[in-house]
Amino acid sequence: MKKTAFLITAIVLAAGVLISCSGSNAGRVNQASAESETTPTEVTATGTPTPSPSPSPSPTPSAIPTPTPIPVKELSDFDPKDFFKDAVFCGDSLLHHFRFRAGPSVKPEIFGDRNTSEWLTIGSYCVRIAVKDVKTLHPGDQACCPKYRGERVNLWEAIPETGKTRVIMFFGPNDIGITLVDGFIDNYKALIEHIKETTPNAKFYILSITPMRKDMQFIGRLCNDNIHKANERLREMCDENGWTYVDVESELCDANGNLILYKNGKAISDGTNVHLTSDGYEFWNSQLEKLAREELQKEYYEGFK
Amino acid sequence: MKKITALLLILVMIGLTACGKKDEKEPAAKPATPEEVYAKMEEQVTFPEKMVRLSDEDLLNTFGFETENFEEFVYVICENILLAENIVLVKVKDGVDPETVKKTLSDYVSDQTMMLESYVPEQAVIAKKSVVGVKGDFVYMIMSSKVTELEKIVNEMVTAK
Repeated sequence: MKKTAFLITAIVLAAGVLISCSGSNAGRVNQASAESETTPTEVTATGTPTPSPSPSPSPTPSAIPTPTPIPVKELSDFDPKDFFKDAVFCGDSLLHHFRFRAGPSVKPEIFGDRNTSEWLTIGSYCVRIAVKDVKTLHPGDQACCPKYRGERVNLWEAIPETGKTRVIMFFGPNDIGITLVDGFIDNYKALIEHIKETTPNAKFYILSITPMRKDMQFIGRLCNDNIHKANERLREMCDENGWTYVDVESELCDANGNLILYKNGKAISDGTNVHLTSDGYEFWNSQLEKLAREELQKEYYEGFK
Repeated sequence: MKKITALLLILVMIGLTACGKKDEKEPAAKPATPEEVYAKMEEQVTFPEKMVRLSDEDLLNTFGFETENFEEFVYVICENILLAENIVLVKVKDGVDPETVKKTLSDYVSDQTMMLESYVPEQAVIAKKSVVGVKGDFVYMIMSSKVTELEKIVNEMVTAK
């Protein structure tokens, strides 16, 4: 009899403890939720603290809704692969080498694999050729245009077919020796205008031209003076048109603006005039990763506007 | 005792018959697959620079080939675009005409040669000497400074039906 009474008492006590625990936990969740709604660290899309709503004189249900606070996201919260899966890279041998010596070949955790982005690249590609309709080019120039689905293509036709809207471009070394800086910039602008016609929602990311070896310049034509002038003009072109200029040059230049040959004991130049080793592309990797995170963060906050 | 002896005799006869059958049906050497051929190439030939494997997406973009028409393929290029090195090994499926694949690869050789002539002329010489061939359902294109050694491997490993 004593045992039964003891058992009943124990059950009643245990039930009481359980009920009180669940009640206090629920209270904590609610409290946490309330705290998170008013936390001063949260910012709106414009980066200003969320104002607490002022009391409304008339308690009508159709009163101004309480602004929803936007959860803060740091650059590190974004996955660059989400950026690169929407990207198409267009350009010459430097981009081609980037695909196989750097970027997706060495940092798949950032860039995805070699086929996460689309690649419309080929050695000797230039805006001077890319701006013209491939069907009107003579066979020698046609052979310098990239292929897509087995055909030589115009960028403005292939890009919409890829379904990608982030257009990352690198041109210059095969242009400025021939058309000089003015012609290069004019052709670049015209090419982007063509692409905008077929892909109106495209975003353009223009990579600067990397410097070349001092000992392999063609003074007055393809040389570092002209490369730096072209980069200034590319930056202006981007600012004027709302395109993004991406500096992949500055850390590769020595004090005189020539390509550095070694950094931390590692070769940067692959021995040709403009091409880089895998280590030489480290700056490209970091700049493109930074670009991807910044763009994703910008778009995230724009989504709340 | 007689029963045991008879049983042993039967077992010996079965064993002998089985051995005889094995000798009669010696399977013919299977032609090597693209993967096997490329593995041998990597083993026996030193390429001038690192070669990289390309995907079915690249095969489609460069040649317009749908990989559903192939049993297996290997597509490798040199990481350095300034070098001509380029190898395609394909085993087509039944019903796919290997000659159409060969034609596309031959056109590619002409195209690539033209591109290299204005870009890296000394590599155009290598591209011009490329070999494109068909052996049964096996189609190959070898554009390489080591073309002779590489084609020899194909000839040794792949036999036409």
